[in-house]
Parts: sequence; structure tokens; C-alpha cells
Amino acid sequence: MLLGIALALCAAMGFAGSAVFAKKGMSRVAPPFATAVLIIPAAMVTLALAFIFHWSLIFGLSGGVFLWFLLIGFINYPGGRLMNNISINAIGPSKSAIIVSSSPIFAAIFAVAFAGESLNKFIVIGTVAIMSGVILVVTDR
Amino acid sequence: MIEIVSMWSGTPAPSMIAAETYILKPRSSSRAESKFKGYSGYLAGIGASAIYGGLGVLGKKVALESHPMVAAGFGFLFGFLLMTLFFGNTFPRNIKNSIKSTYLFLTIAGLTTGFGVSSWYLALSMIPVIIVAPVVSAYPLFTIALSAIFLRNIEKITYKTILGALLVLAGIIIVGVGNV
Repeated sequence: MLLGIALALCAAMGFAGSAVFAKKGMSRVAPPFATAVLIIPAAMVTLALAFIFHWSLIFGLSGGVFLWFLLIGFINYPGGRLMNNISINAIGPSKSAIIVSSSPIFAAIFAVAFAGESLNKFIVIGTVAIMSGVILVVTDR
Repeated sequence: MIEIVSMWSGTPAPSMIAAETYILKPRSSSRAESKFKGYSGYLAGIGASAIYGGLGVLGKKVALESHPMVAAGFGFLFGFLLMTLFFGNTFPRNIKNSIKSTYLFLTIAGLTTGFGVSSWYLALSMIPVIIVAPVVSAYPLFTIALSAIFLRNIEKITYKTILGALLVLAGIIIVGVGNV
């Protein structure tokens, strides 16, 4: 249990470090180039671990699954990560991280709209809290 | 050489050419540009948030057919190939503008991303998502702390930023409880 929580904290620190060092690295180059460059070591780390722990699974995957990976790569990097880096470059990693971390609101909207899930009071209260936090950051100039 | 700090981000101007362009620009135009850059930063952040929110649904489907770490690894690989395909024509200009520290910081950013994603999946394999999600959601607080250390001269941390991060964290935990 404790190891799991420690790993979750490591993940949070990893994402935070990524935002801060991306900002430092983008002082002379544009966000699309920075995004492409920082994906290389990230791909090397995760692919190395994936091949070490799941090599038999990888060799057994069908071509269709790789098309799903391609779709994820398309949405996540020229989409999400690039926008994230544009945001980091323009308003700084702290404000950007707060805005980007409001994604559970969108997850809830998509879940209600497309997965037929229903709203409950926790989701409404949580959304209000997230929105308040984002508004506070956006209006802080 | 005059050291110029750009109005919108506080980062040193990229090059002398950019600095001259900046000097020659009328003040009102620079102010409008600065305002636009600020808004585009917020809009891009909201866009990224919407994409990450929606990706969860797709991610679930892909994770069921393989393993999340495999999906992340190949997602990175295809992401790099697509970024090169879409923006490769702008890379030579960026390579010309870059210095050694550009690659050093971007490599650290990439390694920390890989470390974050791998730790996240390993955590998910050990403890329930209901515990992992709120802990990982605390990353804006870590970002503020790391910014205070590494971006002292660039990033201004205010009490509103910290309060905003705490409100977002509380909201994420409440939404998480609602999804149990």
C-alpha cells in the first residue's frame, strides 16, 4: 500500500518536473519542437519498461491494437501535450498545471454525454470547486 | 549585449534578432501581443484539459486490449512520428535557435514524463485508482514547489495560485468520491 502511494507521489513529481523543465527548455524554441524533443526520452523509458515487463504481450498484439495506439498518439501529442506546452510557455507551468488538472470536469461531461452516466451531487460540488480554483488562477494577473 | 525580458512570460528574449524586433515594436502592439499570448495560454490549457478528460474513455478501451504501459510507450513513439510529420518543416529553424541547455532541459522534461507515466502505471497495478488519482492530482502543488525552486526569476507564485491549486485538488477528490 505504502509503496503504491509512494509511486503515485513519484508520478505527481514526474509530471510536475516535466512541466517545469519544459518551460526552461522552451525559452529559445517553439512548443511543437520542444514537444517532439521531449517525447524521445519519454518514449525510450516507457518502451524499455514495456518491452522488459510485457514483451510476450507486445509480440502477441494484433495490427488493430497498433491503430488504437496511433490514435492515442495522435490525440495525446500533436493534441494534448502540444497544447499543454503552449500553455506552459505562455502562462507558466504553475498556472498551466492548475488549468490542465481540471480535466475531471471534461471527463464527467463526456461520461454524461456519451457514456450515459448520470450526474450526482459529488460531481456537481467537485466541478464547482475545480471551476472556482481555475477562475481564481485565470483572474490572478 | 542588452538582456531583455519579454513582457508575457519573463523569459529571456530568444535571440538578438528577436530582441531588436521587440525594441522596434510599438508599445501598444507589444501589449496587445502580450494579452493575446496570455489568453492563448489559458485557452490552450483548457483545450489540453478537455483532450486529457476525453482521452480517459479511449484510454480505457485500449488498456483493456493491451497493457497501459505498452499503450503509453507506443503512444509516445507514434506521437513523436506524428509531431515530426506535422511540424518537421519548422525543426531546422528551431535547431538553429537552440543551445545545449535547450536539449538538456527538454531531455530532463522527457525523462521526468517517462518516470511519471511509468510510476503512475506501477502505482495503479498495486493500489486502487481511487487512491492513485487524488495523489497524482496533487501535481499542480508539486509544480508550484518546483517552480519556486527552478523558475525563481521567471515564475511569480501568488497566494491565489496556491489557493487555486488547493481548490482544484479538493474538487478532483470530491469528483473521485462521486465516481466510486
